[in-house]
Amino acid sequence: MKLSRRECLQGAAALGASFCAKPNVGHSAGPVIHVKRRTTVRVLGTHVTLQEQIRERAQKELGIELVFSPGGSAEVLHKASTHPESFDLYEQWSNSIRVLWQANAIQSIDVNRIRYWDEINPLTKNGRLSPQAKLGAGDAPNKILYVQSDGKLGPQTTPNVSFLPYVHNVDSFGYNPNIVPKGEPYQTESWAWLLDPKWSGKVAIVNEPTIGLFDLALALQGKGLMQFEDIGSLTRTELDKMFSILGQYRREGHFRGVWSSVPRSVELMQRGETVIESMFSPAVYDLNAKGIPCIYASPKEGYRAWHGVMCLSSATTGPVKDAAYEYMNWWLSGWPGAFIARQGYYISNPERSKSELSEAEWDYWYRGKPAATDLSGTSGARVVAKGRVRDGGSYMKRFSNIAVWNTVMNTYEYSLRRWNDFLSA
Amino acid sequence: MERNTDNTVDFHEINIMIQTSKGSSLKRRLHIGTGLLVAICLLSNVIGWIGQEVLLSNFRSMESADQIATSVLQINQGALQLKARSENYAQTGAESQFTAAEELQSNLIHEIDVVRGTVDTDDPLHGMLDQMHDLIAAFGDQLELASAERNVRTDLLQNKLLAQEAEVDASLAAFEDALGDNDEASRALLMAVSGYATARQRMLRYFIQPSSELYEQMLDNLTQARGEIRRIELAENNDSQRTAKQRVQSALKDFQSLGVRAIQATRGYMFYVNVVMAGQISEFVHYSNEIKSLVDRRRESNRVDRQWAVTQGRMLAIASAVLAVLIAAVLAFRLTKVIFGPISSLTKTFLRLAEGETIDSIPAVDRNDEIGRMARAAEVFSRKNQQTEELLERSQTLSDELSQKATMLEESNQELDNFAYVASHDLKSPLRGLRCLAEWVQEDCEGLLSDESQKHLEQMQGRVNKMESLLDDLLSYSRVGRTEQHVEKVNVEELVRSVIDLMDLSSGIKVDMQCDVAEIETYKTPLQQVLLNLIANAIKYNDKGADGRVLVTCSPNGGMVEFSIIDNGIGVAPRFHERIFQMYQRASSLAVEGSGMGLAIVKKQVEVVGGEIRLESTEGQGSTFQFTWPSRVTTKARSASVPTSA
Repeated sequence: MKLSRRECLQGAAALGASFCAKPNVGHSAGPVIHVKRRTTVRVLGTHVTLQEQIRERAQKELGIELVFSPGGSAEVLHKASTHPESFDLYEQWSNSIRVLWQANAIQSIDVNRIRYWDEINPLTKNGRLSPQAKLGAGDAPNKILYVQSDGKLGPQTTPNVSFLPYVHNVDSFGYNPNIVPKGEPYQTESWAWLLDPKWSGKVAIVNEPTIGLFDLALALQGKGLMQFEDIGSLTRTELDKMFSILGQYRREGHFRGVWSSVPRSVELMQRGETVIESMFSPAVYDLNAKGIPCIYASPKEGYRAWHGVMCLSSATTGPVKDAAYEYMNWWLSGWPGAFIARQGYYISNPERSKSELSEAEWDYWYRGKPAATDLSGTSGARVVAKGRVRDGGSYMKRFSNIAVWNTVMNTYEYSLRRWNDFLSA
Repeated sequence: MERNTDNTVDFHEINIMIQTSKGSSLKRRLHIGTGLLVAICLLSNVIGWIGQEVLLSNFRSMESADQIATSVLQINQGALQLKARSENYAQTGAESQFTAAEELQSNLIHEIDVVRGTVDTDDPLHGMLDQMHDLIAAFGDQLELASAERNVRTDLLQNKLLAQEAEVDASLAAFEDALGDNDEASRALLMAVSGYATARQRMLRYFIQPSSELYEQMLDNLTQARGEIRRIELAENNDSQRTAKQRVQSALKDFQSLGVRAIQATRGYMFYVNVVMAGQISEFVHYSNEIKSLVDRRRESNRVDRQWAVTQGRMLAIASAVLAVLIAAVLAFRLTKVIFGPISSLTKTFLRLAEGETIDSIPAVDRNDEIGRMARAAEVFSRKNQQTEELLERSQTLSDELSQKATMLEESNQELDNFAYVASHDLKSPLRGLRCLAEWVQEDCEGLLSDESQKHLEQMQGRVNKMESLLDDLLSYSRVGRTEQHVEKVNVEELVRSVIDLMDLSSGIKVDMQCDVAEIETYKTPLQQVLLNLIANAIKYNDKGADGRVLVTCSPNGGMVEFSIIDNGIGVAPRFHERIFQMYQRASSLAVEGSGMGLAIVKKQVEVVGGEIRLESTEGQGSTFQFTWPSRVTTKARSASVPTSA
């Protein structure tokens, strides 16, 4: 009798876990079935995608063991870049790709083993959703997606890619409308608000130079304090000037501090320590679900976009690598895209997730239409009230207004020192 | 009797009044007032006690805040030291700095736990300490990771990379030897060596001053070097050359891998130090400063609170004192108004009532307390006064009527006396004529008349004499008090003796006298007549013959002289003691002549001058007649009549 892994799992649920867990040699009356130990895939990443519901669902559907190690952005990047043997899959942002690739911490992914590769939309492959869309500065995903013939990453299409395109979004800042007057999306809402003295002491920035630095650069530019030649590639001089100004703000107590994880960003606003801060989408919905009003701004200067990357560790091989590919394919199979849509994220092949979403959800999350009903988040709590329109509008509109992509610039090492100066100011 | 009954009813009424209306009695008000004063005293004490407790609480709070502040200051100092140590370690990589930082981190966690244990969970300070605790605990992990990363980097740089460099150098030398005189290959090898040397130089520069450009260039140089090696064509079947080439390629590949890892370790370490640790440090330093600031604010607040508590205590004490005085004043005023004012009015009312006034409007009579009951009692007295007044008026009326009737009676008596006098006086004359006529008939017809007619005539003469005697007595009686008398000095003893001397003592009866009174001023004749009648009666109604004894005593008794005529005669039965003093009444069974007017005349004589007469006697055991006679009679006394023999 041939018993598939999934069938075995289903049988185990009905008959008892021990049935599949180990051979029951002591019982001569029953059948003896030898089952391979479940493959364990270790996933290193952030709370954005390393969620328990996803892990349980994937384990159930794939019959593999998933070990999630969520952490702060900087922490997991550091760990991944220096200890590739400590993970099998790495889930984070596109700005970590160059670091990981150059460190040889990850290996290329064969697109032929990605089942729905053809469904991946142009944003990742070309850098924009439509020809009319604004091309954001910095490392657009297409610029770092393909493994070029010289071993570097570039925009030329090849069958080998550095990451699996999946979760992506645009970021801006969140603010409490009970304190910060509500602005007009794309009209009055501005990154400059982060430097508004009215919110002095109540402003927080994400503690990640490849992300937070752009928030601050956009704020300085929006406030007219600086103009950058290429905001996606800041020079040392620009960094010096920038941190000189920001140091002054810091010394004057304008910034409450920095945060390193989504829960921490939620906690800061929930505790009232901040009223405006760099924010990721789930934090906004989490706050709303907790009854704390928070608007995700649609800055007139454009969003800071990011693209999630799922990378394969350079140290992963064999059955684990196969299981890792299965997990990557599972992510593009529909349900995960729908799941993360309820947290405000987009998937690279959204049409496959459409059937997993209700019409009201699809209209709200992707089409920017008013919610026909109250909408629940992934925890089951209501995160969207009926009639509400998503901040920034539709997927197309939001991704047509990208100011900059999260990027590791050439001045990365220098920016780290200046970042430390900023934190210590 | 009626008056007493009325009074009983009134007191009952008053008792009912007193016993009713207990609900709002004055006693209750006084109790309430006293209770209020006691309550004020207690309140003052309670306020004082509370004030002391507040002060003590503030002191305790201040002391606790000071202790917490000291601990927090230590934590703050520790946090700043941890920051400095960690930054020093990041800069120098000195193990001593790392150990010191670890020790500081551990101590800080302990200190935070200790302070956290002394702070309430709902205190914002507790939440801040929680945050700081978590941040420093996480920082400890980060510190260890940073140390591990630094060690990895150090190992890569100082050991593995140097070893690999030696391997590359050795492999290149071996390859060069294996190539021999192949110029083209040697040139290519030289290019590769040059590329590798540049790459190594840039790598070293990167470690001195990290830069992505140097990193990229280093990778390009290595790629170039490896490309040059790859392009070197080897002699056929020259295993040594092939082996040497493979060794170089492998060495360069490993060198690149190690170099990238070292650079990435450097980058990672930089990221860890400049972002992760710096961010964490900035956060826990923020909370440390916030906690310090909060504790400082609390200390200041405690100081202000303590000051305020002192001020408040004083104000409360003053307020309670003022309140107590006010309440006491109000109570006094109220009591004065409620008690003393009405009592004063009632006192005046009672004084007026005591003077016999009747008061229509009694003050405070509508009150429902003791004063009200007193007022109602006063009302009763007022009514009583009114009744008394009415009784007095009635009594006066009756008195007037009585006086009028007395006058009328006196007039009537006077008329009767006048009538008796006139009758006795006027009848005496025809009676005397009858007696004369009878004597004349006796004289003229003596012997002519039969015996029977003679007897009748004698009887008629006897009856005329009797009639005449009766008329004389009646005249004497009526004359008592009519005759004008003169007051004169009388020697009582002599007077008594003279009367005794007039007595017929032929029977052998013995009359004695004991008189302690010398002289009085009185009407002599009436007194003489009284003594004459009483002594004569004592002799007349004595059946003892020669054993008969009569004793006359007189003695002073205040303004009067008390006379006693004591005999051992037949006595008078008690039932006759009153009667014998009435006109024409006789009690004796002895065949003694008499009209029965003697004692009536005596009594009238004594009473006319203001004396009294009484008899003590038992039948068969003698009699004692006692009478009093004024030592000095007033001028208004009437003249006494001349007694006649009974």
